[in-house]
Amino acid sequence: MTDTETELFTLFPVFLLVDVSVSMAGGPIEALNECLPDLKREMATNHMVGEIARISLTTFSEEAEELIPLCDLASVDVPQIEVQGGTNFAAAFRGARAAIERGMGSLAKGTPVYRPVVFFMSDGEHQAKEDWIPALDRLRDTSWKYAPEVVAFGFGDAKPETLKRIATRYAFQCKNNNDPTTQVREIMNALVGSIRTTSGSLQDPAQAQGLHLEAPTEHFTPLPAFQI
Amino acid sequence: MSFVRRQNIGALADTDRPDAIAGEGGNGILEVVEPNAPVSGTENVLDDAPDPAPPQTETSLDSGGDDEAQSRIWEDTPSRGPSIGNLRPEMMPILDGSNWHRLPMCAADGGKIGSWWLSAASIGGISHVATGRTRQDDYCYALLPDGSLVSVVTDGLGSYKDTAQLGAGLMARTFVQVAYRLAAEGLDDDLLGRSLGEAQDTVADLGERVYELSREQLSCTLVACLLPVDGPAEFVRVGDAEAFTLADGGEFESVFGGLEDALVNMVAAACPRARPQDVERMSGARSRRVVLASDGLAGDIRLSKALRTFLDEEWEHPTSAALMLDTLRYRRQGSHDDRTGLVAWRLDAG
Repeated sequence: MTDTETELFTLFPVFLLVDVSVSMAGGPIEALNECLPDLKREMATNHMVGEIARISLTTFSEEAEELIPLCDLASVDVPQIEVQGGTNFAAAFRGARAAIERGMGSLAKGTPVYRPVVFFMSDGEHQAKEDWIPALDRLRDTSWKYAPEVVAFGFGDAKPETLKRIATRYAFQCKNNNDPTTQVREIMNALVGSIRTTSGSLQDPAQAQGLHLEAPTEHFTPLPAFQI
Repeated sequence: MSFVRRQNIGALADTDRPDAIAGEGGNGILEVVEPNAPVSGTENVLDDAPDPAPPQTETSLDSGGDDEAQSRIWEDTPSRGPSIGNLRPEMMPILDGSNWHRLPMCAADGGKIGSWWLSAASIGGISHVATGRTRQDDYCYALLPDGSLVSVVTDGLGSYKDTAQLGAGLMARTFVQVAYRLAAEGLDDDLLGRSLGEAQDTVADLGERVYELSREQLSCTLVACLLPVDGPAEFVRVGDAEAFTLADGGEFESVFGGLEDALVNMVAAACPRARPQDVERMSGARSRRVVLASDGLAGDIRLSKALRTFLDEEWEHPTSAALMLDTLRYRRQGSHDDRTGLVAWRLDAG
């Protein structure tokens, strides 16, 4: 323990990976743009979340773009998200891995961190020609020191089998009794609640009881993930 | 604003390292603001923060209309403890009226015992307090027939949020009770190890017969220390609690070498189901001051120079129970777990 040490704070890195393909136009993207400031407010006012969670936002359509690098969301301006083109899951997972590399690499050496969690949200299926499985496998490669938990949320045309394949342990599909705008809000509520509860659990999300997901069954159908 | 104003005893926040993190060569879309404002004097670090929100019991993103009224209904006393890092407003404390196994939010002791002064305090973590969860740390101590001091700190596993504090309390008390009996019977070879083994079985039996709880539901970590009148200290540990020797000049030396390579809060072993290979033993330490700490405190001690400086100063001399409790009321970014600290000062003879 030397005099040159700086303060190191335990962090919970959260990577949002959000579909902004053309099918998200209208109500869904508006709901997303309304919910992100709410997440920022949660970060600013809730000590269990704001002092621990660090948020990154990557959107994807044909390519992935990191709109918010891993940071204290309370301290940044939240950008307006815009709809783009098609849907390429391979680009999404490459983008997520790159965001994790950059974010985790930016932390001070010795920072205690919970295992990163990726929250994936999509209303559709992969459309590009390239195979998306290799990029997903690379993201979830357990030999990678930053290999994250991946939680998948789907609505609209997203298929349960796909969501289950993407998730490491937990996948959820919105029940089809609401409009897409409401479903996006429900997903964002679930996401914020999960970040809040996990941050307050004082346990690493990688533990069996460390990741707490707030996905009420009146809104979501839980999908058992594939065992690889 | 009506939230707690902290009496800061110095500028202890690290202003040189931004807490908000941006990747190298960031995309330039966002302006990342340096959040670590200097803390000095009686300045309220929260002056620029928004009004505190009530404890979140629902997942809705909308806050209720009477949040502001709720935030103004309680007062607190100033603390000597520092504020470290980028802190959010404290949230309203909640009591859970449905868990009759709960412990009080805090406990403390301070006084002369044999050749030592012992001060101890245990305080519920602010994440527990804000959600109604009980404090799950505990401690106990005893003066053995030969004048040795045995002390123990326990920490119930959070995965058993309603019952683990029972295990923590039972393990702490049973451990010292067994240690006393073994010492009185002259069976003091490997006293700590034998006490641990017998205490585990006793607690498991008590838990099943009296509370109808399994060993898992009583799970806790444990660190114990035997301070002989003359001779080196001995320590035993299960899980991630910690022991330190505190030298004059403020060096906290970890007795067990810390858990630097472990992921945060990945507890590998717990009482009352620890196997022999889960028990760590150390001996040979000699120091005027010995500290036992649950991981909520130990982690902060390991990570924070500012906190080590503060505690070394506050623990320079024996403290009252109230002062000991106050030394654990510091605020540190992300430090939301229960904290328990037990400090033993060896008193000079005569």
